[in-house]
Amino acid sequence: MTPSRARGVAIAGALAVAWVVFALLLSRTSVPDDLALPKVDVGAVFGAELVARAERYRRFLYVDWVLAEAALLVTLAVYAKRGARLARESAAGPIGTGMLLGMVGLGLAWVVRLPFSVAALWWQRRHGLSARGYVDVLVNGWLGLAGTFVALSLALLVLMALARRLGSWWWLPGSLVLASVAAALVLVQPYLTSGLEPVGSPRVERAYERFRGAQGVGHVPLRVQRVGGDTTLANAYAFGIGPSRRVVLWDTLLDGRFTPRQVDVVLAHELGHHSSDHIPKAIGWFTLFALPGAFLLMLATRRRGGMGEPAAIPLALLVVAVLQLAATPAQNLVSRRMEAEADWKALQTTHDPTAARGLFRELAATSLGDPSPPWWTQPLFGTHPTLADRVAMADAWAARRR
Amino acid sequence: MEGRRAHPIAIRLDGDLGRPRLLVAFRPLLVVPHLCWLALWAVPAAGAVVAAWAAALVTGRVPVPLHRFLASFLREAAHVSAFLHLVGRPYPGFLGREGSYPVDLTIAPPAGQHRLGVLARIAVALPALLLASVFAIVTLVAATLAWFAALATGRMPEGLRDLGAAALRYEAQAAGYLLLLTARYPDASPRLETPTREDA
Repeated sequence: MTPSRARGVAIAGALAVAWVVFALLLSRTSVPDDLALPKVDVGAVFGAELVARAERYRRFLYVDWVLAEAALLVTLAVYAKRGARLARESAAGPIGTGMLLGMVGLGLAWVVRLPFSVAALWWQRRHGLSARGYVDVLVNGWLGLAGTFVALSLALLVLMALARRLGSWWWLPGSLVLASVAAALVLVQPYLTSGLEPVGSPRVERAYERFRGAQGVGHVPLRVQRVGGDTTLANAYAFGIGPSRRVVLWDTLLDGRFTPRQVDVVLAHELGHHSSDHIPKAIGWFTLFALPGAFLLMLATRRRGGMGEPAAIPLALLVVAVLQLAATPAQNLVSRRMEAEADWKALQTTHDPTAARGLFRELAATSLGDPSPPWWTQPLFGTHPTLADRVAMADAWAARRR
Repeated sequence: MEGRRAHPIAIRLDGDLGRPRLLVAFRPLLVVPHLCWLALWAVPAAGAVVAAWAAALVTGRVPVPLHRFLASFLREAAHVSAFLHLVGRPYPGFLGREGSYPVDLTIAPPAGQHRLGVLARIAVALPALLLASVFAIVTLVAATLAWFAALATGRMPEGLRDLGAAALRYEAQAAGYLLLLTARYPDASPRLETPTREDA
């Protein structure tokens, strides 16, 4: 083995060990390791009719998603083969041309997926879960592309400039720069999100303050997002880091379909994300995935001259799409662990497994969520534990307290 | 009778009317990074205009570095506008270099300017800017029509291209007048060829 090769192997080995150590640190959870989830009789808890209806509803969306992904990958494969010809249509220099090729590729991806998005919307409207119009989706999707184009152009500007300067070592600083940009976006996102209003319910605010104190979370404002005109789905989320941390409830959670105690569980769950530092941890996971991802991207684009060459960009889009798909099961696994921890914190905070069970039953009814979906769907779509598992966790928590 | 002198800010076109459909389809979105870049560039450009105004008031001439900087800014804006409105075919660069785009502005070097004209530049420029905004609407309508035509045929109709180019030239001349790149008022003639003494 030559000295330079030995050095390369040593660096790769050290990086791999560091990767595993960080992954283990990020994986730590407050959910007890010995927590055994009891088996839940799905038909009895959720009702056989609802389960059957939810299965039918979800089946269409699974097929729609699979077809959309297939169409996307085929389109990007064709674009990877032929897209470089578009470089003739640019007077923008190598990096500007790379931006052009990247934007056109993303634009094509949007167009190809559009019929499947419309089909999904049709299905949601048919089941009374969405009130959005088709034109609204089309126009907003088109306008949303503008923001995506700017973000992609910035990313390509950084990566291509690094690749042109550092050659095949661009992936190391490149992935770290991307992670820094992601962290910056997470920080500013709450300030850029419009339409967030104070809750206006003293009862909800009091409960929120109580749970915030119980979980030791500092100042994190609670806001409501008005979505009632667009959808009947109920949702809540925690976002931001440091001073920008927020908890947001959709107004559909407060329209009377959920009891105050069930809303309390949602509040405690979202605060659980902040008290468990899930958002900084998600940035950490992003960095861990970005490092090998950028390395593989460097390897894949080498035969097109590397990421510094515009001709490599169409291929890079395909590689990123494939890597994203390949990483989805791992990302969803991470997400499910975080959601399970937030559920556990909600139980520890509210001491109300009955309300938690009721919340998950109501979520199944209002969102037509399949309580016990086919095993193969969880790696692809399961950002949360199944509703059956969430009920099981509430039962397990109650059993421990007895 | 003596013919008009050539305007210091002129437009140069190539004859390529082909427009690849893929780039036509996404054209309004493809310029968004350029628009962000121009918005950033506008900040130092505003400072440069103020400095150029003060220098021209004192010396009667815009210093060469400021003139070059503002000319690049105006040229970049013209390249982006030409691409957006389908007057130009390829995707434009980001630096506004002369000769880097087939639809280009030629901007004469700085010349002496009347101090009184410099002092009252904003007020005097207002009618030209008003007309330029009318031209901008014309350009937008022409580009919208051309977008459908180019999407269907892969070509830009020559008449609409020339209309867009004439409007673009007027807008550039009006902006150049405001930015102190020239003391000449914009030329509202619809003719694309730059008028010369021989035309008289």
